[in-house]
Amino acid sequence: MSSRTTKLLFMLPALIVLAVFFVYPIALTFYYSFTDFTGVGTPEYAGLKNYDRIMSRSRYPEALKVTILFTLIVVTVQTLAGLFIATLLQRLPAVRNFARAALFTPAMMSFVIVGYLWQFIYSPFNGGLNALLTSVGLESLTRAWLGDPSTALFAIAIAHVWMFTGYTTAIFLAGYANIPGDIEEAGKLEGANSLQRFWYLELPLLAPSVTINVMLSTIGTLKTFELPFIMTKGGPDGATRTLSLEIIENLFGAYKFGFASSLSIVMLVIVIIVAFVQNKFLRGREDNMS
Amino acid sequence: MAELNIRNAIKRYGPVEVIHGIDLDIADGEFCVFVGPSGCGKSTLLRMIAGLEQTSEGQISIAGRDVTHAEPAKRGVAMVFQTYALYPHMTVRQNMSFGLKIGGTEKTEIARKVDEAARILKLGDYMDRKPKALSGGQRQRVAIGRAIVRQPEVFLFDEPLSNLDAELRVEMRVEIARLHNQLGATMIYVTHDQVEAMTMADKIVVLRDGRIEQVGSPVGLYEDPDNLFVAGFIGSPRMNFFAGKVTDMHDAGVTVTLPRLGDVAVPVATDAPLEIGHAVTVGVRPEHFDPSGEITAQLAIDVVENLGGVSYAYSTSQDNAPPVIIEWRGKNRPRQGGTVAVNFDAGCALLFDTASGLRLR
Ligand SMILES: Nc1ncnc2c1ncn2[C@@H]1O[C@H](COP(=O)(O)OP(=O)(O)O)[C@@H](O)[C@H]1O
Ligand SMILES: [Mg+2]
Repeated sequence: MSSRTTKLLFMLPALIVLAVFFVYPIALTFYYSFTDFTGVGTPEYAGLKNYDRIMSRSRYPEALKVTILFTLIVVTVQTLAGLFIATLLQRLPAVRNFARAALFTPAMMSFVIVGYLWQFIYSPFNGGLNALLTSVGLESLTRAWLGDPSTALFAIAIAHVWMFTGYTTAIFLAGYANIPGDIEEAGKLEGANSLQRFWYLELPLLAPSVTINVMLSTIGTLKTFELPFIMTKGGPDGATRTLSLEIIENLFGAYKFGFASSLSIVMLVIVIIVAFVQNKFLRGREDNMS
Repeated sequence: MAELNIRNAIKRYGPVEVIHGIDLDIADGEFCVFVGPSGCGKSTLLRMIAGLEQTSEGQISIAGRDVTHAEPAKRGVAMVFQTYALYPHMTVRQNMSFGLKIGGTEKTEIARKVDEAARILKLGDYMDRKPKALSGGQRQRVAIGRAIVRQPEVFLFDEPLSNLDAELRVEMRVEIARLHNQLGATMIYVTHDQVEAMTMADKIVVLRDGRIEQVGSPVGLYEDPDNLFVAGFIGSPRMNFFAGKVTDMHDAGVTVTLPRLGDVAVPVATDAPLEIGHAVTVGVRPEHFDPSGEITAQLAIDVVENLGGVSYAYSTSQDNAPPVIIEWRGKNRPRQGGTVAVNFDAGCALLFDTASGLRLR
């Protein structure tokens, strides 16, 4: 047997798995996106009709805008919160491990539980947030957080951030563990205080962790439909209708497999472009730093 | 530039005491080397001086100022680490400027000091490179430069040459010695390598298990060690130790019989009160074997290393003791194997109490 054939044979299992679970579904989705498939019967070729619909109705660009805004909020808040907590825990070794485990628990809960939990917190009448605001004399700020189009998306974003900040924190803590203790000590000896060490030494050296965190949370958040689905069903007035939610509803609500497929392809293209651009930008920054 | 005084310094990690009450005075401008086997507490003591480790008890003062609990940056010390500890994202210039920039020094002043340090260390061509584009020796020079620009009272080095290859180590050793002469600063240098200690130090502090075994000049420690540990640690190849017993006493000293050398009787001068039968150890350095010496013994040689100008003959015994090492120079060196006659002067032999390990003078 030639070494070429041997190599091919060894690669075959991986190639099969890749083909069956990755290439085939994407190819199928791509194919369906040009049909009016409804889940049963034979799909009829529909040309660019589905894509034309996505472009011509304001509903879908709206959903894309919601998705991007949601992702922007989540990634920004989550990265900053994770960085802040990790930096704090880095300086508190006594509680670090306990706190890391505690912060991780929300990520282990199901979306359904998290969704209901925060629905209760945001509830307009006896909800936790309004009760809190009332008790500190900020009654004027109370509202139906999920029922108000101007706050619903932010409210869900906060729930999402709460759920996944533990992840971000854990990755930043791993990044901190990779910074040699000598470098911190050299900084200390040169008179850099805690804040200066963070700004001039730790933050630049955390660049790889920033890359990983921003990439993972961006891709994860772009695709998310769970919390909007559970907490608001996309309402009020489409304020929380993300692209993924649109896909789910077309697929399992309206059985428009063909149209949902074309939305999925649009989604995929966006994710790939965003990931590519981010990777290029953040990696460039890493190279610059080290 | 300043003197450093340590009074009864103790370091505990929880219940474990690793530094047991160190008393030490280092004079202004002195080059002091802490030497000792791995884990003896050299780094810990150095880090206590730097303020990177809390001092559990006792007092440390620099230039007469009590700094026992002062911030590291407020002690007037600069440290060079074994791993260089350069800031990987900064250029050489930024690395060397960082401390001054943090301290709010004026830009032109920073540039002047950094350029001066770069000139002393011949780093001029590398100022805009990142550490990853430098060799080990260059990195260590940058680390030293970073220390110099801060003009500290005391320089601290923690095994700065351990990560360099042998050739570069010798080169940097000379360079650091030159720097010491040039700056006239007080320097404390940690190493486990007694050759570095012997070649660089004005004063050597031999540490073992968190205690000082002896403090002295390199020659002082070499010729007049206080105990078996220092005698065995300082000098390369190490000193030979022969177990023996006191078999006779006279006015100026005692006669010791050494079974390892065929029960040869060696008269050793000492004022110590000893009795017949007292267990003692006699130390003879390899270079003290000399054909003209009055004491003669027969030794079975199994290996001879000829280094050209000098040969080392090794004689292994049945028990697990380390081999006896004999230095030969000139002609008539022994060849591989065989029994040879070795001679030494009784005056070169050092006497130790076997039980306590202390020198009997
Ligand atoms: N953080 C620590 N906690 C407990 N013991 C320590 C710690 N750091 C060092 N030690 C102990 O202190 C002793 C001296 O260590 P060190 O000063 O690093 O030795 P050296 O530098 O001479 O090789 C060792 O026995 C080591 O195990
Ligand atoms: Mg050490």
